[in-house]
Amino acid sequence: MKILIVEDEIELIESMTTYLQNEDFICEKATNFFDAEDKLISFNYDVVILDITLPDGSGIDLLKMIKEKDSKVGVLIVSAKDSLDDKLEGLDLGADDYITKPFHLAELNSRINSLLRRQKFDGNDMITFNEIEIDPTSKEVTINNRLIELTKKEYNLLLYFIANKNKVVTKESIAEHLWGDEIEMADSFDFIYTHLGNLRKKIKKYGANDYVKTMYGLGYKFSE
Amino acid sequence: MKLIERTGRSYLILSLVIFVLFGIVLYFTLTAVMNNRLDEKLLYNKEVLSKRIKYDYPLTIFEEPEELTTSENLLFPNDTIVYKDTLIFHAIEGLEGVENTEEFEKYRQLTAYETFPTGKRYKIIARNSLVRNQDFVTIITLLTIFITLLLVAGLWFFNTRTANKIWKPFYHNLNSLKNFSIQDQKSIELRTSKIDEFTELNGSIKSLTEKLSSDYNNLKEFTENASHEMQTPLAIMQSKIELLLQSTNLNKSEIKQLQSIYQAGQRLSKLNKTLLTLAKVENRQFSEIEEVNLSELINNKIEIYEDFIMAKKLDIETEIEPGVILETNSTMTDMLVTNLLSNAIRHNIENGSIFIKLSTTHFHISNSGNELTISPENLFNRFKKASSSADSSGLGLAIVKKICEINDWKIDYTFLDEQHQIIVRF
Repeated sequence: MKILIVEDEIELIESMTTYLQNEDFICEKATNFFDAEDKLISFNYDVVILDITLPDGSGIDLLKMIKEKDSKVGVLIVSAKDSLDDKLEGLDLGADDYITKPFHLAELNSRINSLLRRQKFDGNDMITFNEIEIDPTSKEVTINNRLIELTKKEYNLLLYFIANKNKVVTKESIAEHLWGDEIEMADSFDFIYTHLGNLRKKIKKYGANDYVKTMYGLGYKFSE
Repeated sequence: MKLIERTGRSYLILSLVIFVLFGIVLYFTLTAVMNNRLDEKLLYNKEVLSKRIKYDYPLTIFEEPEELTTSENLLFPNDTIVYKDTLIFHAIEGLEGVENTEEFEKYRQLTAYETFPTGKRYKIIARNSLVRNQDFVTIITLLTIFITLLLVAGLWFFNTRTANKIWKPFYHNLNSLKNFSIQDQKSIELRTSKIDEFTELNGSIKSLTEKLSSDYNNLKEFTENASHEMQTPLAIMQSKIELLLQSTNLNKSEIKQLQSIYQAGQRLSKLNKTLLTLAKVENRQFSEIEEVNLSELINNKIEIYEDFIMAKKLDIETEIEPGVILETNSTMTDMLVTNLLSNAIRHNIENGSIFIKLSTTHFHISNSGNELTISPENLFNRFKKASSSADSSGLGLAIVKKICEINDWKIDYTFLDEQHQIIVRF
């Protein structure tokens, strides 16, 4: 998968590239409008991560260009402006998703993953992690070919973990992913334990390994 | 009281006072002049009588002259003349079919004591009726009142008419000033007037509103730019820490420190977002009005917060009237409900309770909890928080209050029966 990151902050590009590169992603970067335009004309990308405010132009114009060239390219807008108007304008012009700075890298990764799934296989792609199989269309999870009953939160949590497998995922990012960022309860994460506890129990019950590792009260890591 | 009324009233009072004074002066002057004339006439009559007595002309005397009493004799020396007004009783026998009339009539009377060469002393009384004089005075008084009223009415009419004409642009401008909203981005529309003062006022208003608009836009731009400038470094910070956390060779104390930095960064970005929201609410940037189903909104929010309620083992009781619809901005209403509900959960105690009641007139939310350590008056102020816990920005209730102000809703806080009670009245 080829990803183009258009962002004027080189440090932020570096972070994104480092985090995403471990996956099957090839990341390229453009730090200004001109550069991005050039790359978009010359190469094909699966996903473009697009900052709206660029030093020499507007990301909105790039978005129009991308969609004119190939409407199948997934576009994820990254903006510092938490404005509803901007969001609506972006989505109206064909952007697939919108994320506000500052964001969690795990969240970015999860959004790119779901974007790719929707775009490439019309959502009919199975997500597999060893004996765990997820069908994103029907939202059904099977372990060793046995259907497992999960709540909405448990399902989202599992999907989030698998998208960020082998990575430390912080509690803050999980809370924001599950409840949205309007939830201002950074200090009480008791409810994550509840959902996570139930998820682990269910997975174990169906004979899968417990892949969730606790990382010093800081977060979790889903890995072999 | 309007300026027109105020000045009109002073004019009226002034003219009334002047006319009343004029009437009084006129009355006394006229009476004095007429009395003077009458007195002369009476004196003349008396002189005629005296002469007749002196030269022994026959007098038409109805009765024999009475003897003067001694006291009177002593009191009035010779040749005393006294003028006075007196009332004399008249009994007029009515003709057939007409009732008898009895009345007092006013007379001007001259009384003179005179000793004649014959040695006889007489008291001579000459009278003249004042009835005609009184009629005269009455007519003059009535005329004065009539003219006064006419003048006052005329003055009032013309004053009001011209004033209305002159003040019309002023009131129009006042109205557009009242309706002026800094967010409309429209310059104020003022009606011109030929009056210098109003033209000057218009000029001042124009420049003032233009300055206000440009300052407001600058400030708005500043808030937006400042937040934008802050979000990007925050994003870099957060992403770098998240990358660092992936590193496998960190020891426990390093992770602890990283975690502190990470959490502080999270707090900072939340605070930045909340400040931006408050600024947006205060700048009234949420101005789109639509129908908001509050009953649905509250029920949805309770569902979203279910985990939080369960985590604290809170007992939640609701009395939500279905289909409560408000004409307001949906984003702001969402913020209001979110803030109040999350407060009710956050500042609750383990195994506590929450009570929510919604009707078409008010939204009531109460929760168990410890009594406030700050005074309730400060509760809605920025950064006034009862707890120093990190998850509270101290801005939530300031946002709630501002939203209520904008929507003309009343919000009250009380601590009753160990319950924090907040009531929003629509």
